[in-house]
Amino acid sequence: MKDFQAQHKKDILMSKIFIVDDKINNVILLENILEIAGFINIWSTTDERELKEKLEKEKPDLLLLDLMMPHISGFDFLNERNDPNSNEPFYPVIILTADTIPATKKKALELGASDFLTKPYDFNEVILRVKNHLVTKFLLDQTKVQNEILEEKIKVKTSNLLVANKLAEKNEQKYKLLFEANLDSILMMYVDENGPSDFIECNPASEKNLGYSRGEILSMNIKSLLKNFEFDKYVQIRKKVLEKEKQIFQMEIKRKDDEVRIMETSVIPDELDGKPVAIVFLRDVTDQINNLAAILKQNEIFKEIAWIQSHVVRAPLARMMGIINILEEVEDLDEEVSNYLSIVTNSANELDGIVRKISSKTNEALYI
Amino acid sequence: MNFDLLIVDDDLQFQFLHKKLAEKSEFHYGPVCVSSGEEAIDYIKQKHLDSTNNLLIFLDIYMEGIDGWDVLDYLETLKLPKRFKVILISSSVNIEDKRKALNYDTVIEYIEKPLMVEYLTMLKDAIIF
Repeated sequence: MKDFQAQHKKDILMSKIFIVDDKINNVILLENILEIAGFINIWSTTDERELKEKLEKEKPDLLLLDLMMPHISGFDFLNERNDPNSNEPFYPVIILTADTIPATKKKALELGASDFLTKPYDFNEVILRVKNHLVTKFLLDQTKVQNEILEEKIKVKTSNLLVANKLAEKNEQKYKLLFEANLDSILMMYVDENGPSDFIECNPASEKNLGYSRGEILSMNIKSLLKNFEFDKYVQIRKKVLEKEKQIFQMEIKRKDDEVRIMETSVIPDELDGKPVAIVFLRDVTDQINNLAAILKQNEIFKEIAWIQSHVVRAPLARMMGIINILEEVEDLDEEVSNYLSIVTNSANELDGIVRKISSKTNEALYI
Repeated sequence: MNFDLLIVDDDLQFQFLHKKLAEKSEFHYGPVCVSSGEEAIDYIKQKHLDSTNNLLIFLDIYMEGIDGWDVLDYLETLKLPKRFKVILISSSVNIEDKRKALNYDTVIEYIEKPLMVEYLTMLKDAIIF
């Protein structure tokens, strides 16, 4: 307590003290005692009606109140303070009285007075009691401030929690939608050490894509869907699930109608009830793969056509052009024959131009 | 004329034509004609590996069995680009073939058929070896 008083001496001495007593001598005496003790924030009056006005504007840290006053008695002030509708901050009241009748003291205490100072005043008693009550008030105020800070903190935490809850709710809705509306099959299973468990969840698309009902799917496991199940491969996949690694590969899946489809498979690692689970996305890529194969085959045919254009068609043409070249070298050629020859030359060149054009076009198309 | 001339073509009519053109243009008087890659390599092994004669080859690319590319690959292994030189003569106008031909040290020219008299007349005055 001593340490505390030393530390907060200045704060305590700054406390606002109101003194009300209709006898000016008493007021001056109390003021002197308190000023000597170092208090510097004292307001006093001998007219209790002035106190009433003053209290409407500001509250003291301590009120020294005479009980017997001509206009408003000290009891009335105490009563007013006890009005449950008033939102007044607490401040201690010390009753100044010459009256030592126990009934009076009892009544004042019941009405919320904190203490008594009996006239004539004892110098040390006044200072000690005033200081004690101011320390109490100071501590109360501090506690109140701490509580307010705590309350504020709790408010912020609560509202953060609310926001987080809302977000989680929203996310859940989003994921639910992704799950329900996804066109890919989504299946969930535990990846146990001795093999995959029965499916524990499936989305509507998986019923449509695989041909089984939800009930059927939930009573089977991935082994019965796969065209070839290899345990070694399962062990590898499980290892990566445990390492929280995402995987993508292709699998051949047998539908209920026994048709085998190639599925692009994404395995997302997760956990459920502390056990590792795999969320498996299946996308049917059979048609895509078949289309690609068809395009590659077409490309091969295309290449062959290009080859025929470039080489096979052009070979006989080149022979003709070679012979024409020799014939043109013959001296003293008949004019009529020479004319025919030039027609043949032009035609051959024309044909050669067409073949070259086709060849370069097919080349362009092939190497885009 | 400081070289022998070998004409390689599986098309006998081209063989005939190229031989005629070589003689007519006085580019070469005694070309040897063969009809396949196999025969070409045999000829080189028998007549040219132990001699110091230079050899120019008119080489068709697309033939059954060992083709022009294979013959070029064989010539590369001899590492004698100063003694063996090749003029590719093909009916192919495919740009990829021309690009590929550039990779061979022995290839000095790529000619699209037909081979013309004017070309050989010009080549006659050039120093090939």
